[in-house]
Amino acid sequence: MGDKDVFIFVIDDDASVRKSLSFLLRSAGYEVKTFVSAEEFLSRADLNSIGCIILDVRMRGMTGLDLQEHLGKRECHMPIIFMTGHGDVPMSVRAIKKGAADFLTKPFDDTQLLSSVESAVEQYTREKTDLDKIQDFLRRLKTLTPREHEVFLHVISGLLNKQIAIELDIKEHTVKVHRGRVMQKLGVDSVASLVRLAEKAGKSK
Amino acid sequence: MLYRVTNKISYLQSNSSIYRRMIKHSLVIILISFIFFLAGARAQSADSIETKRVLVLYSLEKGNVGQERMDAQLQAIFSSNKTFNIKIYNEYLDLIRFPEAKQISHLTDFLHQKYAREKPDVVLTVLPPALDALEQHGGTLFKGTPVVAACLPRDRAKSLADSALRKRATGIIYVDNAYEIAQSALRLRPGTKYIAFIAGASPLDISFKVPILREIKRAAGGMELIDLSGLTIAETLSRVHNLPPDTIVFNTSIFRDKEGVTFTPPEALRMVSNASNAPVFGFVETHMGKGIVGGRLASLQWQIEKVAELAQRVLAGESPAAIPIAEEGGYLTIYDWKELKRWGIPESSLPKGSIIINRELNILDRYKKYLFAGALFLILQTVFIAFLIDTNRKQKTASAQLRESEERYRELLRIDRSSRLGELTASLAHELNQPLAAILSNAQAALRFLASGKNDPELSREILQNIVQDDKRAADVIRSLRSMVKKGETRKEPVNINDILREVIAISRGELTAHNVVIETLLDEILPSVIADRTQIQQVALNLIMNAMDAVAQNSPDKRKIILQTELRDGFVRASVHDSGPGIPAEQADSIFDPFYTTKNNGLGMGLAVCKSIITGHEGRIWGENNPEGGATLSFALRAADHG
Repeated sequence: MGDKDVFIFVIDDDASVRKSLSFLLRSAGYEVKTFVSAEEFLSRADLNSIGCIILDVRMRGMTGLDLQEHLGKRECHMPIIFMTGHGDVPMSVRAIKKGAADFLTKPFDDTQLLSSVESAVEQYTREKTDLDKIQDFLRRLKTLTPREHEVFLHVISGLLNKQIAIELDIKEHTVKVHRGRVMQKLGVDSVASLVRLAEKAGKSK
Repeated sequence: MLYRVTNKISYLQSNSSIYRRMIKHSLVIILISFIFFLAGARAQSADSIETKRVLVLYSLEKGNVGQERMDAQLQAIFSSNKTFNIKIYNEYLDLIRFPEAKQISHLTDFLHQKYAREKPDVVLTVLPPALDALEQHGGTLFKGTPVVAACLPRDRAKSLADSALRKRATGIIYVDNAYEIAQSALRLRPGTKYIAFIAGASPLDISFKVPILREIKRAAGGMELIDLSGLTIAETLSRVHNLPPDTIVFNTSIFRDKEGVTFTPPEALRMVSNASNAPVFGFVETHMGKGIVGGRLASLQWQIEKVAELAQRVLAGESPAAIPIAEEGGYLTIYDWKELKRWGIPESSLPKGSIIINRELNILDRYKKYLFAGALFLILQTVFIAFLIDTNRKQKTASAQLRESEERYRELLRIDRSSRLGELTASLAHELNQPLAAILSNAQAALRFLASGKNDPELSREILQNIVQDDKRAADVIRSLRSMVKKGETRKEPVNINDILREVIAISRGELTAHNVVIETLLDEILPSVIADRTQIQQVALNLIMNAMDAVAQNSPDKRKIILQTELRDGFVRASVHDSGPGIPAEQADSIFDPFYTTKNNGLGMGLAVCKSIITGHEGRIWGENNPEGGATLSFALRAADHG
């Protein structure tokens, strides 16, 4: 725990709750930022951070569920842990369905919150790294020439150089040259990792 | 009762499902209490308007038609007054039958003492004798209290205007309209040669008679007058039976005859009219239907409305001296159909727009409606039978649909009720949860800092201060909750505990039925009332019943019985709720009324604490004891109102 770049965002309109959660999370080594409303969070926080959001469902103005929906529209997939003062089952079902990481009923135990935060952050870090890799891969894919792109598609569908040469009606040697350039441009060193990345990026057939 | 002590802060445990369930159930009693409280608050705002007392002094004995009408109307008008809560007190002075000065002196002494504590804010007098009584003894009776005098003959109104009493009195003239009535009577009987005149012998009779006679003489010109006033009733009847042809009779009032026999004027009039061989005319609306032909009579309705209006203006602060004595302003042109027929007066000769009472139709006229209705009935019956046959078929399908929609309605009702309760619960839970959650997180953060060896006194101080603040905040929520129950302006009034128990049983009927709990009552029906705040006592009763209900909930369904009992003991009204639950644990009989004492999984432990604070606030006693045959009895006792 305690990655330098991980931030926990606490959003609650109750000062007591903000302060106490801030202490608790800091005691576990997290960097904490607190906000009195969803609106303040949207205007001040860096939505690309690695971390997680701890959010009260009942707030004046924009509610927790509203914020969740809004973040979804803005392609921010930071995990959200909801808190509620009363066990509202339908509301928690709605939140979880929309991808909430957890739903805690106040008052909750430190271990409950911290383990929930830990697993949310861990998963998001993993997803975010994958996502970054994929985005990088897609960016690189655009630099391929049309011919290189054809070769790329045949490579990931598992054809040998000879078969590709017949398919494209070019010399096997030319295929080799294209293939080397594709690997270089996409920044991979083996066919296996090329196939895995293409699969994740949804480019394989 | 089920009294198992649970750890008071066990609801802090993190198992959210237990927690959620607890919150849901625990507040039901308090919430119902709140609903009572809110309802009470609304009732109080209506009751917080100032109470004003109106004392009506009727001159005659109880039962007089005009007075009865006035009383009914005044009740109706005053009860719709929005500014004040007007209480009406009636006194029937019966001054015609008991006119002696000594009697009146006793009467005024009696009234003086009777109303010493409940001083009227305005006194209304009806007819002059009551006003006369008020003026006697130098006007010391209800000294300083404003007076509105109703039904005054013009002369009496004039003497009021000149009297010292006028400084605090105003009045309304009851116009006899004698000149106009006499003229129209002469028009209806064109050949009239004699005018007979009937009045009683009491001063009141004379005070009505004098101005009317003056007007009749004016209308009759030089016509011969037969004066039948101030005779015995027997003489009057015999004379009126033997009047010369072409006579009309005017009758003012007979309250008392020459020999001191008293009457109500309408009953005397009835006798006169029955005996008379000539048409009788009168001047008072309440005499219609008692044997007078009719005319343009002053409206009693108008008089009543005017009295009420003046009384309310006085209550609102206007000085009676500044209100001019009012002149009659409403008239009814009204005739009695039976009298018209009796004397052969054609309806065509009546003024346009006249009201005709007592109309009787001839046989065909009278039964035309029935004959027509009979024929119509036969036709309708036939149609109806055909319709029934058809309907019967449709009914089967309809009743199935009805059952279905009824079930749907009940379902909706249930959802609605539980969602409203849910909202209230949620907001209370939220209020308490915020500080509780903060305390927990703060404390656990501090433990973690300590465990990690990070010893920062500044940080520790800050965390501890937060805990202190949050704790106070939670305490404030509880305190305000309790003070809401306790402080809410109490309004003490005589209440009957039996009535309250019945109301509360009615309210909790649904809950009781849902839990298969049978409730039995042993109510002492001649229970005196107690001085208490109705809403708060309702709350106590409800809490006790709900408590007993929870206590018997563990029993098998056939043993879930609660008995409510009331009795008068040593000057206290005692209400007890017996149950057949597990009883109160030994040594706990007193602590069950402590706040947060609970033995239930779903209780906050506030219900009985609230009861205690209410009953203590009423200087009463509340206690619990185990029954020899099992179960417990919770009772409260309040001092009986007339043993105070």
